[in-house]
Amino acid sequence: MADSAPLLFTDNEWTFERIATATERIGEIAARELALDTYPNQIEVITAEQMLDAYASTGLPMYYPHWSFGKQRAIETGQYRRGEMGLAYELVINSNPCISYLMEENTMVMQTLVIAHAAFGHNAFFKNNMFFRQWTDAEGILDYLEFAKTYIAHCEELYGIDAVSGVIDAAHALNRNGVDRARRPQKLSTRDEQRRRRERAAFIEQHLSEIWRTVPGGVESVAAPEERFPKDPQENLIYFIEKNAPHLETWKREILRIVRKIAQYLYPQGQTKIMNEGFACFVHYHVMHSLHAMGLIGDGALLEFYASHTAVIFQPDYDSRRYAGINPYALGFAIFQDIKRVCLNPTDEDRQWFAFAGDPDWLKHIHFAMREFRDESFVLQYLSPKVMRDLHLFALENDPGADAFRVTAVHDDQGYQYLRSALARQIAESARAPDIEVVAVNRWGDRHLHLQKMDAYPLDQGEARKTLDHIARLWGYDVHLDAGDVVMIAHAGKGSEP
Amino acid sequence: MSMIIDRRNLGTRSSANQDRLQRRVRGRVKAAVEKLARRRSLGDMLDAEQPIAIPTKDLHEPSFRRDMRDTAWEQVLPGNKQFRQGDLIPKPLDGDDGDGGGEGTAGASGGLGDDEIAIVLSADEFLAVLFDGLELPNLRQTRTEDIQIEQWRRAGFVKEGSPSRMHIGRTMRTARARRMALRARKKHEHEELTRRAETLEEEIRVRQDHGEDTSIERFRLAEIRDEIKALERKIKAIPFIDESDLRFAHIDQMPRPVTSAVIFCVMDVSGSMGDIEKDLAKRFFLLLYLFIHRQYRAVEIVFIKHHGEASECTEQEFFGAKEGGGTLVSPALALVEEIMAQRFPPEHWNIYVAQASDGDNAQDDNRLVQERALSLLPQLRNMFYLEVNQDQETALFRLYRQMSEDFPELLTARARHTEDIYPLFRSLFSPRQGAVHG
Repeated sequence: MADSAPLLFTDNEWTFERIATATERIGEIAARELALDTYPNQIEVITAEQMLDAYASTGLPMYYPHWSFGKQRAIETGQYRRGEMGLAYELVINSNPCISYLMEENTMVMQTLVIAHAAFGHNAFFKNNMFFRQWTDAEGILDYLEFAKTYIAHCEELYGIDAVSGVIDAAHALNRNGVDRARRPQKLSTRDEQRRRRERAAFIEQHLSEIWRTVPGGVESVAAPEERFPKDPQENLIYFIEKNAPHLETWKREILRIVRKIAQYLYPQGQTKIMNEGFACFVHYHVMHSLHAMGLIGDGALLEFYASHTAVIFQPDYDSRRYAGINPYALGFAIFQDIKRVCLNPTDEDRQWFAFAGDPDWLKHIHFAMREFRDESFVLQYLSPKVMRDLHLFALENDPGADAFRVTAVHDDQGYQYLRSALARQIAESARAPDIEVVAVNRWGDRHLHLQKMDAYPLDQGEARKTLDHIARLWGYDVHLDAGDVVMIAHAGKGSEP
Repeated sequence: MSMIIDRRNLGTRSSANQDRLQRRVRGRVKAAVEKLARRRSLGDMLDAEQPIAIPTKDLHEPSFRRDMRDTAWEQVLPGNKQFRQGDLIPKPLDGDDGDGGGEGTAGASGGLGDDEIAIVLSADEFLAVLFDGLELPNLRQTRTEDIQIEQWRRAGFVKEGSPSRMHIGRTMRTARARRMALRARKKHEHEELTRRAETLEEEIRVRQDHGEDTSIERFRLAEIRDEIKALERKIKAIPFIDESDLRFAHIDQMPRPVTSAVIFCVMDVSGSMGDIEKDLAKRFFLLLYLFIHRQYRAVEIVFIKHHGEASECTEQEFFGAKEGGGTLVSPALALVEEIMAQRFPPEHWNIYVAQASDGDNAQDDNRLVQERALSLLPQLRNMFYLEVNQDQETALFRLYRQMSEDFPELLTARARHTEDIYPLFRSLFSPRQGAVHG
């Protein structure tokens, strides 16, 4: 292309003009060469301190205040100051417009990389991935966070910081059990939210007295125990308590709802970590090379880019001190690059494994992969023997009774299929909270809430007991948890609730 | 469409979270300060910038988690080197060395886990919690000009001044810079000429060897040697020090508010004061010191012990001393006034007097005490009297309390047990207390 195109920058200092120009050029490449469909970008330059803030609130630009965020920040600030932790170069928020934070410490090369990665890679992923489209509402999130913050501030004024904090503590304990995994949530809208809040208060009163009608009255009818409530087990614990706790004040129900809504919004991020990062890396990798090919960045800039890029996608071996699980950047990037390779330079092996091998329209397949999957299914669909070989994957089995671990599969012909499904299973499990469901409410006796663990994995009992205490505080009566080998009971009245 | 925004000047938004965190750990912080207070001497408390660690287990956030330690699992790992399918790898003997093998899935989401990572609060922050909501009561109303004093302060360097303020270091530095700057070019020329002279000498020698004429070269050499001599003279002529090099430390008069305070700790060390009483007094003085220190840049402490007579002493002597004899309070107050006059003129210092005693004063001394106190009080910001004994209010206590009706800056309190001190301190300094008198 145009050899004469002037470099976007020669020294490495960023300026707002350079960021604007770079964003424009990257946008052109993203549209022309990768056909990316993105939300409008809002790029914000922030300081390291502000980045630490953003970290503490799981990346959200605004959050209600809570001590746990202060704790998180204190820990991270300490690690950062001691040099144990580097800060991410960027943070990006799934909103419309899509907000990306750039750190002021970054060099111009880094800013360019980050814009490609976040403002176009992640942005396109947020807008197009099926899971994000269904589960989150990029339009409403900023307003909703604002609403949540204001509402909680209001509650703190009325009921005191400690009382509000108590409810948030309990809700946070159930954060990962507050998501509807099988049902698409409603859109967030602040105005509706205000209106709905009022309607809800009235409805709940009515609804509750419906459930509990028979309880305090002396009617000793034994006819009803057949009627189980709830009819089917309920997996969304926060939702269930919010709707059915006998004596919970309305403002507490609202806080549960707020925590639940935000958990719901964040849920897809945990389900698509590998894909999301992999795709963003794929985009920045492509864009940086295009910029270089067009003569917009120099060789030095490309070298600096390689240095950061390789650091980001580095996968330490299982026996390395630096090993901390599978690096989602490494795995995701490897698979997306591999999809392109399988299209353009397929081997016989690829043809056996993938129907699309050899189809020159690689972009179509990249888009399809990015849109239609989540981590588990993505790995199950696209993890190729080549990538397994490159990463030297192997599967290890632990039998608690045995003296040794057993290698169940390695990266060879017998092992590929097995490894692939084992890894997919592992990804699915690690992204899932223990499956605890409400199976019954004792409506005719002591009103205790009966929970049951539905999956096969053992629970951490200490944690479970503390969590149950929180639930009992919200529920107002005893809570039983049938954890398979043990039944735990938390008594109400132990906590702050009367 | 892209928008680029500079958010850097927006500052951080962590203070609300920080407040709530401190609220949450306040109990811990108080306990920690209490502990420090028991172990350490007064001065150390503030030098000790070392933070207080709060175990995160206090701030634990429970949730339903898996416990994969004693169960079957399977994991996919990267970086296989020699393993083949079916290989057996002996388990590490120590069960807790799980990182390499199995814990990955279970713990990965939690990140920090239950580790005892410490949260760091600076000394300042925990004092803020400790003294939260307290203020110095009945701070004597001062006119603004009282707080300002004129003071000579250093204000950089100037080229003119009196010889006594000449700054040798600066002067020599400038002189050296000047010498180097002036010499550099001449040295350069000198080297150049020397080299040319050497070349000429070489030429002359060679021509002589060949029997050629050397008169022109010799003439030229003589010329160059003259030039070199002239240059050397010039280089030598550069003065070692020049008037323009002189630098003088400048001082200027600046108004400055009085930001220093002094606390006179006065304690009865007569035989009737036991270890318990002294511990009570010590606690009170410590809190007072820390609290007053928050208001001022620098706080000095003067320790005065007294029994029959009063003397100034060190902190160790102050708390360690056990001396017999009867008690007279008035000599201590007289000593305070004397030291004040000598070292801490009230117009330059914020003065506090804190007195602790079991109140067992000789009857006829109380009249003297009243006299002394009356002359002392107008010069003080506050005076505190803490009575530590197990019995009744003493005559001394009643005397002070009576005086406090005319002098609200005089505060009295009684304590019996260690645990009384902090609440007592709080009640003394909570704003409401002041309002009663005000």
